[in-house]
Amino acid sequence: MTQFTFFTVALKNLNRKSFRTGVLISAIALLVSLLIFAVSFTMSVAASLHKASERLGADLVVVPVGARSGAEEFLLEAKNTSFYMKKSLLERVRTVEGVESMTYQTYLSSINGMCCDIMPTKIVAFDQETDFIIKPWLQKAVGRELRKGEAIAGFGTSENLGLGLLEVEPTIFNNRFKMIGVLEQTGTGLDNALFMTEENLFGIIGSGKSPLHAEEISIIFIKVKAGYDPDYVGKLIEGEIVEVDVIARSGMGSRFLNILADINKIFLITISLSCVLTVFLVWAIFSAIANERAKEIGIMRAIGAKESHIVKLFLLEVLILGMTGSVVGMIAGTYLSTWLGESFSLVKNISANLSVIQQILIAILGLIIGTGICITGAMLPINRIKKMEPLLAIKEE
Amino acid sequence: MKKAIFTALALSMMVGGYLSFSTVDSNAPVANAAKQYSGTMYVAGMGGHFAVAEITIDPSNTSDPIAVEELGMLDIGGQTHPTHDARIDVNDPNIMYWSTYKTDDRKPDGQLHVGKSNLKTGEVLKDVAFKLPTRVTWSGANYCASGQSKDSFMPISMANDGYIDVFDKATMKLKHRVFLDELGIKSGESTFAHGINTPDMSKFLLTVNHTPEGHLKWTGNTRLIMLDMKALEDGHLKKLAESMITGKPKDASGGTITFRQFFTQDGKYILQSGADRGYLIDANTLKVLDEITPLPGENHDIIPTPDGKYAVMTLREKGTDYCGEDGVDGTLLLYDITARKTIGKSVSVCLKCHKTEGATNKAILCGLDGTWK
Repeated sequence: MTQFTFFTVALKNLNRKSFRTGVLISAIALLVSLLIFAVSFTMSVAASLHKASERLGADLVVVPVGARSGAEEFLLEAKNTSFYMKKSLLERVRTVEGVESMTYQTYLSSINGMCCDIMPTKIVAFDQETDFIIKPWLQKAVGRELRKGEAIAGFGTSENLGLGLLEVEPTIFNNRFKMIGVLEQTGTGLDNALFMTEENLFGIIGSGKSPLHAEEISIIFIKVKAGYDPDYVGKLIEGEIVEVDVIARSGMGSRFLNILADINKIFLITISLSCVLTVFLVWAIFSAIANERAKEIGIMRAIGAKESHIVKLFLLEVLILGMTGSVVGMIAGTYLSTWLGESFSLVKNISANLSVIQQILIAILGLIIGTGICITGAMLPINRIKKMEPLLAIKEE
Repeated sequence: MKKAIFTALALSMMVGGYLSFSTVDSNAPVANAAKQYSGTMYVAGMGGHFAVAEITIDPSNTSDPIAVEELGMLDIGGQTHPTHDARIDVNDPNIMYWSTYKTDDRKPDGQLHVGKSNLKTGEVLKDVAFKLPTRVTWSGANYCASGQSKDSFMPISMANDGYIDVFDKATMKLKHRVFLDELGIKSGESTFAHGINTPDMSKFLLTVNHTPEGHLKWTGNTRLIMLDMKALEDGHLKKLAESMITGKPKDASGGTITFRQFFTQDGKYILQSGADRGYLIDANTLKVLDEITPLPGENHDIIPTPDGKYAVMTLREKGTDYCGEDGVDGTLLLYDITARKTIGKSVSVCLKCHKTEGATNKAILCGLDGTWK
């Protein structure tokens, strides 16, 4: 003989109107998936920008006048941009108050044709002596410094350049390079670059095929002295050296963050309206359920069921609906944010991704909000039905 | 006797010469007997009046080069006439044109004012009020900068869309209202238009903060567009030259937003304000020669001395009011055009006067103009 429990009764009640139950579960699932997608999208972009600027390991980035956006495109996105300034500016920057240490890099884009036998790629030449940006990754990857004629690929570059890169010696601007490995992923635009030391640039300039001239660099990375405000030091540099623009670490990716702020507003409005709509939907459906089951409740009350039993029964139904809808929504939302999110250039360009823990936390948030909205919408009808007089309920036709 | 006197004189000259050369090396700071300047600065304020500051400038005083000898007020209408714009008539230094920054809420549909005052008597000679153009979709800020020709006063609106008005100086009648379409500037692509005439009044410099991603979405960059004055007086925009200057995109720590500017009287330089910095710009090439940063406050205008050697910057700084509460003060700071650096401390021209019971602790200045003695 089957034992009746509150849970089995609640399940049977939901199965009686399976289509209506399905509609309600779908509505909650849609709301939760929208919520999870929105939160994941904005969090991943913001976190990736923060991570990328942190990973650069510099408080300030100095670029030629007008190259601010170009530098951000290079460092945060996977775009090929070239900008150059005189190497002599290094000495002027070094003397500015608050500058503790600095290093510089030179950027190039390889080109299709006689000079290069690889597809167009970003090339980063760095000064091994002063470098504090590439070295930490280099040590992990090969455990030694790069030599002349050697290059190492960024995490994404080995794929971009095609299979077999590491087995061949590519020609770049008429200079042959030995590929000695791949750097670990950083989440910055530098993942899509090919790295070599500065001494290789003489050969590249000598080829006459590159836009680079002798004694030119692209970017200066600066660490400021303890106790100095990077923003203030940046202003000092701009005030003393008119040929450069300065980006503080806090200002990296401001263009993305501005776009993100607008997207956040759109998501917030959409989610708020969806929440209100779902509350109304749950309220309407549970009002209908309460009216349908008035006689049933009356009989239950007449044979000894307490108000709390009625509430418990209905709350179980609501919880099953809310949890089922939320779980479906969690799966759909996570799938959307993982797979569909990658089709957005804003996310794709900056290697945005979330950790498993972050995704779990967002999913739990979705579960709580989805279930909470379901309970909120059902509370009024449940409150009305528990107060029903048994005799009146039975007599009603 | 004569020989002895001659010998003594020769020796004393030699000793004096030696001492003067040996006690001052080439790197030691020298208090040059720099030229001093004095003049009257009319500093526009949001209270609907101008601070009238009698100042003297002593560039050799490296601590406090600007002294405010006297501070008065020129009222143009009080709270209904918040202003950023001071523009002294090139034909008559006793006349100053002005325009209002916010709409006058007493007037139906909130109207703007443009007018002129007599600097000697303080009398408002003309005050013209009119509705905002229907094309304006954002009017949080209106007139700020202005230019002039011999016959026209030209206030420029910071609204979206921005526009330049051409008023007849004599009658204060609006002759033309020129939006920026002819320059290919679409709505929202630029923010906060400002500008001024060249000293010979043959050209007009228009500046717009470059915001390609939308109105108020600061990139820190500014377009400098040189226009033909004759065409502008006829209601058209004829571009003669253009360049872009760069600055810091705005974030929580501030950023570059360009406001008012002046040419030096020889027409060689443009002094451009930019909130977190000022700029010294070559007027011929429109290239930046110096960025004046960091600053102790937010820079809104820069007026040069008549010889083009120094300039006075207006700043909005933190200040304390009559009862020690934090507020906003309007200050002046000296910039050395030749040495390309600021000199000494800034001096208050707002809270200094506001430090009386009941006066607001937010003294918001912007532009200025002045007469030099």
